[in-house]
Amino acid sequence: MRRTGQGRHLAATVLECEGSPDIARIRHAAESLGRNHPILRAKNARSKKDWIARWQTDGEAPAPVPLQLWHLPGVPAEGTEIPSLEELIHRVINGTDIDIHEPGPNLLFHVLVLSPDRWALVLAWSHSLMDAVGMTKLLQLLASESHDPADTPPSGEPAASPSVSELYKQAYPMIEEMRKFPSWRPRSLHRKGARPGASRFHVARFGREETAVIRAKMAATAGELLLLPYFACCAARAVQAVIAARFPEEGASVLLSLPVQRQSDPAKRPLFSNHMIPYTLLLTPEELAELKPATSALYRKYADFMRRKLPAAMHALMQMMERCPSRFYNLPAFIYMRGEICSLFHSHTGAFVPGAESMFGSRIANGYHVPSVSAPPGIGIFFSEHDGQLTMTLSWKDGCLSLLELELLKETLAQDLGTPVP
Amino acid sequence: MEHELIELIRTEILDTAEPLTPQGDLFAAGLDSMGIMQLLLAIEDRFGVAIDPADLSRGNFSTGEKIAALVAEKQAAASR
Repeated sequence: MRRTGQGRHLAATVLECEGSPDIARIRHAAESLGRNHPILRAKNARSKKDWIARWQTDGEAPAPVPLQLWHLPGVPAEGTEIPSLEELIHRVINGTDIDIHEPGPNLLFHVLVLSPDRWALVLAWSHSLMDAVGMTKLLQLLASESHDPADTPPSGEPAASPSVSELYKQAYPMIEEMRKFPSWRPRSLHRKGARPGASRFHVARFGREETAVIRAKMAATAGELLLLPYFACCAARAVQAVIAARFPEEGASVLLSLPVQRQSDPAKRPLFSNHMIPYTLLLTPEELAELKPATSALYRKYADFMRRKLPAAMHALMQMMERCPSRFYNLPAFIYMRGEICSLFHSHTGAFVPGAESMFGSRIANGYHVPSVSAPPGIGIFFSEHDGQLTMTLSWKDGCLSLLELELLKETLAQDLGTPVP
Repeated sequence: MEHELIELIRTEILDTAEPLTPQGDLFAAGLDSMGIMQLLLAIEDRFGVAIDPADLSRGNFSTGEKIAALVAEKQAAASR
């Protein structure tokens, strides 16, 4: 993970709120959260016994979650001036304040006053600490202003886990599945040989009318409820359009990595843990040719994945991989896959913080995540929705997407979504 | 069948100890897009009917009672 930069895989979660921030209330929440969760200052290191990386909380004195105050130019408020919300998000996802390999903060609060009646709470966090499901649970905890500790994963040595040979048996169906991928020559937007640059992003906020248009098109195409396959296909087709423009002589397949919520336990796992396992599937150029059949193909592949119990096999494969230094599995994977791991990352996290309408006394006007991505694949397309407003985050690495390619990506998304990308 | 379906949703999809009534709002209880996909697979496996995307509306899936009615309708259509 260090070598590919995944160890510093940072994300920003943004809540745009109405009114003025109650700094005393936010500071109190930051203090309670830090005091109750030593993991928020722990370092992540491999055990000498089994080489599995774990959070080391021993010896860490509890400390508040750091809080930094900002304001836009000309807005009278406490803190440091910054040109825009986008600039703050850029600094967060490219920041070095969070380093999971050293003791220190793994979560930061930023409060940015946008105008006398609007402000934003930006949380900077490491993807090694939690995923979007965990972040939702954390935001629900903050919104409830409960100062009780949430469940966290136990530190130290865990109970005995299955042997490598046992894990290999369990993982074998997924290994067999992955052996099919190279023959389709999947590509991503990462340019081979290029050193990936800074993390870039574009947040497209669709208003309620545009969101209604998008939902109506989805209902007519894939039914009203199949958000995941529909939006995954929109994202896959957009990335495929860029790949096809870059390599017009090849029929570009897309290897899509999707998070799949663990079955039977989403509400029961500790907050600071992985709630999702990745689900990797290949979509051929023929399957991607039209949006409706693409959505059906993705749904069929999802069904096949579940029926063949591949989530359990994928989980076992990940348990095997976590015992290895990243180079050990990255190098063979890169050779086997010709330098690729997948074509894009994608998720639709559904309703943003369901059940919470306000945060620290202010109504939440909108909310979304801005995850940074590794290269390869160098691109991620993420969706979430709050109060009838869809938000799409495009996230990429400098050098993986030219300005023209970004326009092509947005244009393809606009055609599929049925409304211009703001 | 309605009782079996509601138990399936409660234990395998929502994984909750809270009782579900036939008229209870499943979306309010946490049924999301991923849960819908798992539920469609479970309905195919358990009741032998495939739900057409055109039938995937919030109206048809808002309660256990409505899903059971849809499944019964599909079973009846298949046996004709």
